[in-house]
Amino acid sequence: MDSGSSPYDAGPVLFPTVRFAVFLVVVFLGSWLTMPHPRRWRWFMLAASYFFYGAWDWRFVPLLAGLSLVNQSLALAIAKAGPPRRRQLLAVVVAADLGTLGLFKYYGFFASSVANLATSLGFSNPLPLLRLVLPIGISFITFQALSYVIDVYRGSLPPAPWLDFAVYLAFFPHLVAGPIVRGSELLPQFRKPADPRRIDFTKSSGLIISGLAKKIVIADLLATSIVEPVFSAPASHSAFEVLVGIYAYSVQIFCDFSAYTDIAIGVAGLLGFRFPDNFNRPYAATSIQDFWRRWHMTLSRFLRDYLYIPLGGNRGGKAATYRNVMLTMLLGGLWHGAAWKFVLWGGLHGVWLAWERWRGEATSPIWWRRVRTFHLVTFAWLFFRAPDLATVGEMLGRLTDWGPAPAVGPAVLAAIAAGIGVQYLPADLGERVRKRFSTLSPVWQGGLLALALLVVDSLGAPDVAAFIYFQF
Amino acid sequence: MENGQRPAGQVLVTMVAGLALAGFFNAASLAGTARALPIDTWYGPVAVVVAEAVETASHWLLLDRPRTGLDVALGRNHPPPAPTSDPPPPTTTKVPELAPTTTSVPRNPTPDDPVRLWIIGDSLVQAPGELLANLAAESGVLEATLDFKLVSGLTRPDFFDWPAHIETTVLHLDPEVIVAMFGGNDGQSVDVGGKILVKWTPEWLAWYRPRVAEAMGALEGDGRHILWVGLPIMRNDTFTEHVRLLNEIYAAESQLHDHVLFVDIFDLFADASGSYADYLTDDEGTLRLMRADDGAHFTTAGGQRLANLVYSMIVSSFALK
Repeated sequence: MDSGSSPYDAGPVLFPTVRFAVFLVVVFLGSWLTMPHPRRWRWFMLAASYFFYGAWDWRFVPLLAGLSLVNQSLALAIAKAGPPRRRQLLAVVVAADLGTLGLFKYYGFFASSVANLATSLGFSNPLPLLRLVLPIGISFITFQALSYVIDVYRGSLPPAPWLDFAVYLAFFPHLVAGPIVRGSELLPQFRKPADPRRIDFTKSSGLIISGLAKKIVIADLLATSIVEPVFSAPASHSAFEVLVGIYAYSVQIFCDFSAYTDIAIGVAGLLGFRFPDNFNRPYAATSIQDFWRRWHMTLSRFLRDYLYIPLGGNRGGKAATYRNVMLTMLLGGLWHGAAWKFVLWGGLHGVWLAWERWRGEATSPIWWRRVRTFHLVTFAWLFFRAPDLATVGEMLGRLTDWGPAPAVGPAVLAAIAAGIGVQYLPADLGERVRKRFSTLSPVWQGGLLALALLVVDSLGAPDVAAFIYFQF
Repeated sequence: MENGQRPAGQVLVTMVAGLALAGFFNAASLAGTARALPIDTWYGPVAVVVAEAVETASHWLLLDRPRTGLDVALGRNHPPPAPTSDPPPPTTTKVPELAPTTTSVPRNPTPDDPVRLWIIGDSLVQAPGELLANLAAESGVLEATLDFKLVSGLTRPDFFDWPAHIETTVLHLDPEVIVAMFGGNDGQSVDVGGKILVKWTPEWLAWYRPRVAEAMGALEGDGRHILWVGLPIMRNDTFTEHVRLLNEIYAAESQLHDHVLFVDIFDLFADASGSYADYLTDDEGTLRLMRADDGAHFTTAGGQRLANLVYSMIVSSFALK
């Protein structure tokens, strides 16, 4: 829109845009030129990352800088303090990070809920109805900051120098939607400059191209063709359209989110850094527990190490384990937003995880376990995507109303089939393709990349939508 | 090099060469993106010049052929068709020869003979449009088609030509009622015969008004009923002032078209004091967030508020129950 927020304006540096391609080439050049001079490289990367973040909204940059300042100050203080004071300082930093997250993420919901309650009781509204714009990627930033300070508190990570920590928190490839990279994974890489003669171009470019294909060709196509129409106006659609819309969202969210992290990992690889994997064919999982080992793996790991285990994990008997699983999943659901639908989504996964633990080892055929797990996960996504619980009911109600399904075309079915099919490709296929690609001369590699971009742009949806996980 | 590893210089050359070649392959698409940039910025005209040069070179070198071939194979070599499953009409059909449009309002629509509703506009119409389509479907006697184009408007036909799209689409959709909402992206300076008309100046407003008249005329045809939805108050004060200017044009122009009704929603999203409000009370008396983070687009609750208003106007026009 106009006056500073027009879609025609330069706008954010989204991964699948020409703008990002130009940004990446400039940063690639600057990064490798400054790499032999560690201090210069840090300042360069910090400036580039702040520019990348500020392209969304320059007001977010002081917040990012402020979070870096607060967390690093307290991490250094924790490292120096004695045991009782360390704990107090940790409480302060956890409160500061979660308070920041909560303020931006939940204040509006909380204030309007209080206002509604006050009105119903005949009182005036006690809280101002401020609209705080959610800074992009705030969850990922605070989670990484928290993991760093907690690791320092636990003694598993020495505090980093100021500049290293600022670059770690702001490093643009993971800044807005993960993967959640721990300090222990990235900070040591900053201390040892990467070798400019050994860039894993084959793997990095492969991840970037496959990410672009998943995002532009599959996720955006499904979003505009079927998911958005069905979830926003279920009454306008027949049972088959609603059913396909539900499956389509399952594929869309995988392709969208995994695309972002694939590109992030690929971009980091081009700059000489290794990020942890975030997805491993999650819709081929044979149980819900297996699903969470394969889906958003860095968040699962974060929740396990900083929430589930501190809650007691599985050390307090069966009942305590079930409680801890439920609490972890409910809080994981609530993290996505202040809405009952997210709580229900997390609760469903919690119940299924607890049930699997209670049931023990499954004996049913593997194909059945895969089908069952995929359908349970897809059913839960319905709650996640629908704007409210009333829409969930309306969509389920539509499943009996069969009729024409003009929204379900061959392109939609092909995109769904492709999104599910990639989960079952041979595990070593990517490696084989990479090996073959790596034997080609740079001329052929450049040509093949151009051809891949041609096909992706041709097949893709005309408008690039923001990544789903930007909102969290 | 082992395991696909390459030196940085070689990677840079491969990357730049690959991107450049991709730019030549996708030159037309690139040029379209460049043309959508504002022309009163330093980067807009530069991007257009570069992209058009690439487009020309690509055509000359035949590098645009693979893309053209793919587009033809995918059926994307024409402007985007209207969102309907009906086959497109023959291109030789002239507007006057169309099946007669239904112009008698009110009439008594039935599930077998529903009122055909077409909802069009830019991204602002997406949320209310989807919810209005849902209300229409629930009514059983309204058949809605939502047709929005992100970042589009009436000032940049070089990016998306709404009047042309309208002329093409009404041929086969034959809507009886059209809900149109434009303007959110229209605040852009334009190049008119080499002269830049700076947005919001009197010259620009004088140029813009005929664009609105043209769109209204194309929509109205020989008697379709148009609900031209104005723009709401915005969080940004400057934007709000511009919204007032646009709404004045829409209101004035609608007076000149017999079948165009201007729906003023400026105050629908204001609080009791007339100021912009993110939170407003819905029909059930619950305070809800109405506007998106940008202070312009609607949330689901905001979209529902607008959809309810427009739906009630359609219901009263057609005496629907």
